[in-house]
Amino acid sequence: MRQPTSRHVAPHRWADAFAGKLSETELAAMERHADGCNACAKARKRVQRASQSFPVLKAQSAPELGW
Amino acid sequence: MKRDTDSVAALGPADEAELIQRCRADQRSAHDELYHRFRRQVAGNLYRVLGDRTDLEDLVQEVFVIAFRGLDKFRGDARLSTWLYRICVNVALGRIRTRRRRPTAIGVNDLDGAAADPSLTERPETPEKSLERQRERERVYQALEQLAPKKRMVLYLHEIEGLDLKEIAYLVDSNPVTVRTRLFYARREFYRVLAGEGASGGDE
Repeated sequence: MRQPTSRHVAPHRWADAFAGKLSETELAAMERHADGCNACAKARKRVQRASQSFPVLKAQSAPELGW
Repeated sequence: MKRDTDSVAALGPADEAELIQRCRADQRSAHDELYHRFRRQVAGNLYRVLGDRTDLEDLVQEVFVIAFRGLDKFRGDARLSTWLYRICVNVALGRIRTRRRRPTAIGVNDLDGAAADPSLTERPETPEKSLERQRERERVYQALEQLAPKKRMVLYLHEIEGLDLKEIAYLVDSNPVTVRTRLFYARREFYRVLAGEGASGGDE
């Protein structure tokens, strides 16, 4: 069984991961760490939720104004 | 970068150039046409960047006042919509700076009235899903509020709008190297806040 890496994952690295910018090796190391680290698992979940909301935010139209 | 256009046909480059010429000739009808063609796009840009609709009408007017005054300087090196977006970014930065000096003016709660692209919300959402989406949106904008204005802007344009460094550099009147550096630090702060670790602060 592979041991989790000891270094915490910087939150922006999760954003990189969800954007598909990391290699499989990098991602696997981060996932191994998060599997054994509650703080990083929580950060991963929060960053993932936010990242998933970005397309919705980008698609927001202006509210109706009194033109 | 173009969205939120009114229900009028999009302008081609030649028509756009003609409209600009007519505006420069101070034709009232041309000013009206430019305003009506782009007002929704301008409002949308400002709304998404700022995250709330406070004073949105006034800010839209401010953008067009600046645009009409600056048309003589518009060299046509970008589409009109992009140039207007650049003015939006500048006006929004001014608003963000003012809000940071007067924190009570911050407001993200009226985002629940936000209209999303229908293609992204084809299936009716459950109330729980809708509430969760609204809360997530608030979390994102609250994290953005923690960043210094210039960092916030490049972060927003890159992470949410998906623009590249060159496009962002044009919009914020900077260069890609500066944008890249600012983005480097902005991403670290933003995702640290989102992850619940807080931000290190900073003014610019």
